[in-house]
Amino acid sequence: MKNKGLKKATAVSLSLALAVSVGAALGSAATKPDPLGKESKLITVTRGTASDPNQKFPKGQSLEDNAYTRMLKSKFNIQIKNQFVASNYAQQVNLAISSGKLPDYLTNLTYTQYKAIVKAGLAMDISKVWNDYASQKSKDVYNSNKALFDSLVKQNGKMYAIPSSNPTADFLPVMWIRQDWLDNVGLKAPKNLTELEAVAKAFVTKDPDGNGKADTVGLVGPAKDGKLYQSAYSNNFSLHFDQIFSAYNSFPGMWVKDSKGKVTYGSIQPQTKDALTKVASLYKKGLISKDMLTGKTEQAIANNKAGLFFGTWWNGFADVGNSWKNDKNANWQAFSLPSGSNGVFLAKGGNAAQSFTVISKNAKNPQAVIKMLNIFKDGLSKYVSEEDQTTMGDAAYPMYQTFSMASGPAMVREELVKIYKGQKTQAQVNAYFKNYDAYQNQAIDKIMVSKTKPYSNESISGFDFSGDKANDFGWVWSFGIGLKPYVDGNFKWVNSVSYEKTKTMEKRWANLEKLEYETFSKIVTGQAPVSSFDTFVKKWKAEGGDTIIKEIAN
Amino acid sequence: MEKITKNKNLDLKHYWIMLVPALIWLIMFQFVPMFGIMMAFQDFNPGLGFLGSEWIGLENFRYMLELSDVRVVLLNTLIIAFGKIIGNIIVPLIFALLLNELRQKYLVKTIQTSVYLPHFLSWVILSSIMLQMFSFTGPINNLLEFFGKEPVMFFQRADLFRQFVIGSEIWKNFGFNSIIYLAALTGIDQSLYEAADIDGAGRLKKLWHVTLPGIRTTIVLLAILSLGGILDAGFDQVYNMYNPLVYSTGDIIDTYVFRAGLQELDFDFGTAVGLLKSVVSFILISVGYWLAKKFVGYRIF
Amino acid sequence: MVEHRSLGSKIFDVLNLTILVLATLACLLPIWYTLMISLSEKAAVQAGNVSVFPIGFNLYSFESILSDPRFFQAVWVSVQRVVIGSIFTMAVLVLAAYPLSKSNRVMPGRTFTMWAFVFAMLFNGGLVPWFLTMKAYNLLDSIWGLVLAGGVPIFNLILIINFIKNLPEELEEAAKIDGAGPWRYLFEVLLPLLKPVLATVLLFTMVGHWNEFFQGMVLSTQETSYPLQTYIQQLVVATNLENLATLSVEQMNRLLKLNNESLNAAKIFIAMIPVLIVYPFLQRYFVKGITLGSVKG
Repeated sequence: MKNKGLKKATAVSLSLALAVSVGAALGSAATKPDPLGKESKLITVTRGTASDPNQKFPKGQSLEDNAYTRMLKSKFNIQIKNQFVASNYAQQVNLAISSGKLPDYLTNLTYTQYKAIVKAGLAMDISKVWNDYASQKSKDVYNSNKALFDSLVKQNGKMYAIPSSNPTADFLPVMWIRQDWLDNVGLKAPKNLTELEAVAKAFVTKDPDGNGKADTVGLVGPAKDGKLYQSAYSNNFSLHFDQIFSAYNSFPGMWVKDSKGKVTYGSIQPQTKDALTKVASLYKKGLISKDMLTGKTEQAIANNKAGLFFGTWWNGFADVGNSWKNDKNANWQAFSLPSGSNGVFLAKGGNAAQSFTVISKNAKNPQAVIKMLNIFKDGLSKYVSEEDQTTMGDAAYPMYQTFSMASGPAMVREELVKIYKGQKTQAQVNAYFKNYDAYQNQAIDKIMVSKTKPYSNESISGFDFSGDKANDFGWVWSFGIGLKPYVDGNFKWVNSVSYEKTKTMEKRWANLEKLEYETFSKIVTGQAPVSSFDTFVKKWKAEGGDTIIKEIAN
Repeated sequence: MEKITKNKNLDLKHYWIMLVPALIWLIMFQFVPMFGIMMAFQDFNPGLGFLGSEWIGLENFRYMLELSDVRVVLLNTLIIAFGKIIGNIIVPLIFALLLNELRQKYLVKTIQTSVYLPHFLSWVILSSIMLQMFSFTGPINNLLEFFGKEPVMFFQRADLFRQFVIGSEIWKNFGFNSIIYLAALTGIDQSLYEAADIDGAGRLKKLWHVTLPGIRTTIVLLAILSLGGILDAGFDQVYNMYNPLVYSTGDIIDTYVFRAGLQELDFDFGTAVGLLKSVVSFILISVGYWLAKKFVGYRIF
Repeated sequence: MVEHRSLGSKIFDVLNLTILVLATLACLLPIWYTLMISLSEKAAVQAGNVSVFPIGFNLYSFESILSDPRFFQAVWVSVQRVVIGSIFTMAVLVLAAYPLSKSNRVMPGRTFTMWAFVFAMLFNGGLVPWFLTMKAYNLLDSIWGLVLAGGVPIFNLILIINFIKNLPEELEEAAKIDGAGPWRYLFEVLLPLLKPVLATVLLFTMVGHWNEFFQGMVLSTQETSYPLQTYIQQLVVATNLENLATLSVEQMNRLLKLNNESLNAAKIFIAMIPVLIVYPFLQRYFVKGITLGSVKG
């Protein structure tokens, strides 16, 4: 009896030991994380997602069930479930936050949303899972801007989000001009504000499109709900006036140091007032879109009633592309507008982390999210057919966020120039890019298919967009032309002292931003006198601005 | 006698049974969410919920007083709502009087059918149409240009936005609001007109001495009843029409609460502002109820 | 009978007619204009050339709506909402209005209940608590959420109550003497008499459910649950992609597809059609319903 008991005990302990050792063995196999490994059994991961009415899917596929989700399920045992789908994504996210229940992960969150989630204690500390599961390529991207990212997503050494990573080129404002219009009115690309005004004036008065009607716009201003300039918290968009502000050494929306080296806010500097005065005068003279800030100003570009605007390198995909679709001779070229007499353009440096991905603290399989990012970084073309990928675009991938090396797209143009100059062959460049982002080779290939000889001719006549090639105009013109100013390098970054939001800002910033936006918008459109700038400065400081400046300085 | 009382009590039971569905609805969908009002006195943390969030007393209200924004928003709300109330009383009145005077009686029906129509269309629809019509290249500006006037950026002009909101509201509802006046007009004793005819009164005189006094009560009543809506400037309309450029004149309590509470994720502050509105509205409605009873002898319900 | 009219009176008549016709046109032209936009070609619309007649007449917009399942999905949600919502609302309103039309003497607690309704109409916990409540009831993405959210409109309740109060009291006494209980009285005597006000309230309810967009926006976590007005609101006031913080090569590629105003106008026009059809039929009732329900003699 005793013996039996002993035996039993031994058996139990033995089996226990066995179980432990087996478990350990299994455990170690499982915890030796494979960034691109298949989950041992099918797991379900929930998310919320934005839906875009223009999103296309191949036949028989949908947002819920498409080549990407099928691939994730069959190759990685990851099943995606959409907890919510909204065209007003931000609002649904906010409602989810208010209920205290998040899906397993959310991508493309704003800084405010990400902060609110962390504050509510709903975000997972992903330090370990990121360390264990992020692939080398994913880590490379993070490390290409490590100091900034650390400051944004880490608190007390804990990592609460995966930042998106925009390439630096995204932040360089580009001056787009229609070269064919310049030729028509007998002018050259402007080198300073006086020349800019002359071009805008000629575009309004000298009938650059030659239709005999005075129906053209000078400089295209921001559309409804658009902004006058990029800021530390919002950038990488088009139709702003950054170049004009820079010419006055004014950097609104950024935390800058004044002449005495003290931290202050760019929008309240006297230079900003001067720049606003200038914009207001241009508007008054009728040289800027009349319906700026209220209408769809970008339509003037698409309808070929405008030939000058400030944008970004990627406008080939958007406005410039629309224009070209309607006028195949539209010869848009990209320039930098020098800020001073030395020919250098002072460009606002942007925040590379434009959005954030947060994993819920209740997520059972956080590693799946990291894996999906690794797969994305590995190049989706390896996992789905080219046809599916082209139809849907990368944005339909469930773990999609801009996640590129700081130097990303610029390298395309750099290597392209080498091909143009005969220093490298296309094959050499392809080989060189093989291990970078997938899109670099795509861009090179698309450009080289359309480019005709001689390579030195980079105007619209130097390309052939016949047939299917027309579909790739955006790629060709953005990577091929839009990146020119960035690669040419006649600019200097002016970075914000901080890209974070301080404690006081959480409560007050929305209000202050609104005050600033309203005042400035009214000044430039002539609804309020320039002197209202001074009232604004006083109000801004009193309603929390001074406190925030102190917080930023520390 | 006893039987009647018993019957009455029995009836009473049935009355309450009839009320049950409405009462359940009232509790479930109106009173339960009211617990959220306590959020106005909290630093609401969604992770901790209503019970776990920190209580901060009147902090949100103190902050509200500090913000120049809140004052602007309150002022906008009052101006827009007041403008709408006045317009919604006067314009339909004039319209009803004109229609009453129309000699081509066969047209009355057509006119009525047409002018009641906009009332039944949503602001989503109407705003989309307005944005289109009043845009820079839209027909209204084309018309202005035709008359040699400068085109106007209607949605850019903060100084025009309130008028625009008030005007479009009146446009949407003047026909519909005229129904009550038209009914009151038919209620006027015809012999009064006949007597006036005998006195040799002209149309204007009859309007002044017979028609207007005849519908005076209706006018006063409508004015009193609309008192409760003085803080209702119309969320649907403004939300679908405004843009940041006209916030200074167009932002109203409801849109502000929506933005602060949801878009800026400041849940508790948004609730506090909303609560303020509820309190003021309730007081005004009560005052209106009392005034109507006292001066017109009318019980709203 | 020959009427004697002064010159001033004649001038007034002409002026009056003109004003009334202009007012009528002001109410009809915007709708006409929307139809014209939807029938015109894109370029003419963008250039702002379309006014009273279509330019470059085509049916492309309407054709492409026919192939848009999302639009039909939204229409279907709205139709369900209107049908179920109207039945629910009418039933609850009729049942509640009759007892509430009693005086507080006959039915103690009646006035208190009335004020409870009015109080509830004005006070609410705000959007977020309301949303959390609806979520707790599991009413997100549900047709019942849309039906119940605004299920008992107080204004309409008051309208019916006042209408009943205007009926002669002898009616009920007579019915009682005949031995009719409250239920029989309500359904057999009262209901037929309420026809004008019920038609009015029905119209308001249907139009209200059809036009509502905000609850549809907040209570839908999937686009397939959007009612039509929410769908249109999101479409026309859609987020400007360039303001999103997260632009990428792929998203930009899609920016190439321009917002199509003709198409939007067509969708707006279709959304108006049910109202245009239903409302004239009920018009003869609602004038009477409103008048008797809101103004007591």
